[in-house]
Amino acid sequence: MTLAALTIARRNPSLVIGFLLVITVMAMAIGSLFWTPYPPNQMAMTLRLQAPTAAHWMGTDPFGRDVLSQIMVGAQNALFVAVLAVMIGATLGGALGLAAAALRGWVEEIFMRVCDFAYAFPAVLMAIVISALLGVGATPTILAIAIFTIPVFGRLARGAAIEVWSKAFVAAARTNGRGALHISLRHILPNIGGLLIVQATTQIALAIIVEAGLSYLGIGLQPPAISWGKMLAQAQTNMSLSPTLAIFPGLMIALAVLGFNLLGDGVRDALDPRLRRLR
Amino acid sequence: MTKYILQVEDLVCEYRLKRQRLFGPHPVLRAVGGVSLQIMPGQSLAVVGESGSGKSTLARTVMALETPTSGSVKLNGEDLFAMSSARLREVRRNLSMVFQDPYESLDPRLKIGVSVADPLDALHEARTSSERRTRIGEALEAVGLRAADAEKFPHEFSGGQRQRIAIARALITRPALIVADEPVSALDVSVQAQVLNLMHDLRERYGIAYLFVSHNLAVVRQVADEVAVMQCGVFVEKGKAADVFAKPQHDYTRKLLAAVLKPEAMRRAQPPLRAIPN
Amino acid sequence: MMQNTLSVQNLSVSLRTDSGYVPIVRDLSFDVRKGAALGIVGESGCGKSMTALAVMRLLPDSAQTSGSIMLEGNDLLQLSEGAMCAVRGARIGMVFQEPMTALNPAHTVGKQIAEGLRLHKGLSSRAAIEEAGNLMDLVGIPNAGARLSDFPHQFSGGQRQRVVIAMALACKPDLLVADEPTTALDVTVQLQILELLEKLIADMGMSLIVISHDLGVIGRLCDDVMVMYAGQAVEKGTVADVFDAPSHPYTRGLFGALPEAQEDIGARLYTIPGVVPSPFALPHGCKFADRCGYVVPACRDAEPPLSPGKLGQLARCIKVPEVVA
Repeated sequence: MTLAALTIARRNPSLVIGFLLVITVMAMAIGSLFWTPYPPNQMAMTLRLQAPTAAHWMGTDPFGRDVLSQIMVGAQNALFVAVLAVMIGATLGGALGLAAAALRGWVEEIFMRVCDFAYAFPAVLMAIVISALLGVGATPTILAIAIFTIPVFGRLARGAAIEVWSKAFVAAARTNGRGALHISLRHILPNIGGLLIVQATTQIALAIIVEAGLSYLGIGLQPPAISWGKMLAQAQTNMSLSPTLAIFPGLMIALAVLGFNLLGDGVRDALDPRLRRLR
Repeated sequence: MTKYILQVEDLVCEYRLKRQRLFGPHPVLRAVGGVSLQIMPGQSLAVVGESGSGKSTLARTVMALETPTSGSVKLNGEDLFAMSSARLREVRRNLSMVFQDPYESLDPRLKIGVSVADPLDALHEARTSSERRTRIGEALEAVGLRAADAEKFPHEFSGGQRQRIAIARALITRPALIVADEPVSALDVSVQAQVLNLMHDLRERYGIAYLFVSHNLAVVRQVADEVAVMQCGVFVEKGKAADVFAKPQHDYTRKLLAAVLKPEAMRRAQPPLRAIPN
Repeated sequence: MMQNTLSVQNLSVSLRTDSGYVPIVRDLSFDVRKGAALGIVGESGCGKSMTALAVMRLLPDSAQTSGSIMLEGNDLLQLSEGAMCAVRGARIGMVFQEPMTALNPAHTVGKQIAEGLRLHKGLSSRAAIEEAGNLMDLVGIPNAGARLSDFPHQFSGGQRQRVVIAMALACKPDLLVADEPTTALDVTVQLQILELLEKLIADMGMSLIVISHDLGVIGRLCDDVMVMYAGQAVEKGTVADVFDAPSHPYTRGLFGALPEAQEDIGARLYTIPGVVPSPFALPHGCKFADRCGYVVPACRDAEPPLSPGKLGQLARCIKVPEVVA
């Protein structure tokens, strides 16, 4: 058992490191649902801007709130927003990509042009525009991230699906009288599923950055919801008094993003070693 | 009233290629340029040609995988391109295909039983799961595999075995015609012989007709009653296999025949090979 | 004594896999005579391509090689990677199965043929391009001078293979290794390429190794032949001897399975029963015993040595008299 684990670790270190990082962040997020060292929004004006102590491992913020507790709740919010947004984007994008590959012709043409248009804007800029239109808070943030995720998955799914459509086993299904919907669900989706899962993992990393960025700008999650991005923004104003305030949320964003990226790479290598060349 | 199982009349398949200039016309590629053929039940016709001759397009159009520009493909007298899509699905039970690449013609994610039964499932033909299982077992056994192999995945089989599985799938609805597009050209010599013999036996046992597409005249000799030589989208010669091989009429046929490399050993008769005991 | 361009002695190649080392080529010895063509024939997985890669020292890092590969008296297995680079292309030319992947689509064919000349012969760019034109002419590309500046995609499959051959010939190598040189080509084009190779080895006096699964190609092009099965030579000798009186049951089975070899139209072909043994689980004794009609208990006791066949060839079989009787 240990030996098997060691073999995997040697052969695919990104899978293991990514997995451990993601598990850590997830443990913090899930843990925060049941327990935090202090209520995350409990203020204690006597304990403002403390450096890390035995009582407050990560110190306190300008209102005396416990930073560790906030980090844990922040992990919960970051994962909730990122995972949900990517799931929505991946489902819609994947479905549209599959449809484009199945129908080809003008459907595909329109879909691709829309994707091109969406691609012309940087992800964060796009999210800002969408947030400006939809308002602020968790739901608009999720929708904003989901919307710019759609073309990513749409293009990926379409490209991969077109390749699978050219295979003889699809022609065989067609000669059996199978229609496009059956073929898309039975043959195409399972054969591109791995690719979509890998992309989803990496896309969660991007979504975490965007959520933090939007919250940093004040157009993401709104108080009292806690976000790493907002913690960073707050830390910035107190940079000279308490530099440690910026370190922990910054570190968490970095570790979470790194974790999902490594996990994505690792899963891709584990699923199909041949995909490594496409990197 | 018709006696032919397959009747292709004046089939033309054209493709629009990409424009060469921004507002220029689409150049048209004529892959098949007016081909007619007939196959009687239980007979086999081989279409021979080199890459780009249009032979694969012909096979795919007969399977209704491509739509022709003009002309007709009639199966048992019914035009495939004039019928409703529901009727086409129905008619497909009489029409199966075997593909060139055995590594690509089975979905790697499905158990082979699922792949083999797909023609039945598409028609909802097996009423009970035990009937379905029996039919899968019969099809696999007909091609020399075991019924228990239905539970395995394609990667557990060699190229030759996969081609057998693909043939089992083509057989399961007991079709009247199998279209085989280069079914042995991706296989090793000894495996190729096994698959050719299998196709030979199945034809004798079930009376299946074949439309056999190949670039290899030597292979065609083993399976075809009739041979059509295709070049640049048209048949340049068509006739009884024995005649075409003995007295080729067209220059291109002669050129193809001259290109067949016969190992010189064939000049000398070898003693019969002993079969494996038991 | 006849001089050999290449002499391979006791070559073994193993590949590292998840479940340890698997033998791909086992104790293989063969010579390529000066000015002669050796055909290596066998089915997928028999180790013939690995043998070619071993000769060119192009095996993957996971491979372990032992034995010796002497090219004109130098053991290639002892050379440093740098010294080997000077051998590849200059003294051993290579032609692969798929001409499109052997050519870089982003460079003109003239530049690609000239590259070897500049690298190995130190020719100036202008002289190299001029020589490239001569080579294209030599391999039969019409209007060669004008086509030097064309890109690979502007050539047909057969012409591309001619370009690859021109590249392989550029430095007048002692040995040309061709791995399935005509498998991807149409039959009429295949014949042209074989005629070209035939003419080139006759004119230039170089030696040739042809790897192929096609006995017809070997019979057409080669002087000597080695039949491989499960990583080993099971029969080797001159093409005349091996083709006239195949003495190993496997060789005979291969000939029997060839549709090209049949006189009767529509006859059943001979088939070799069973499947090739997995290199992970090679049987004890003769590796072909499970598929052989001549098998006796002694076959499974020990691997048979190469012994004289019916004519001048060697066959790895203890029942040669029965097989050829």
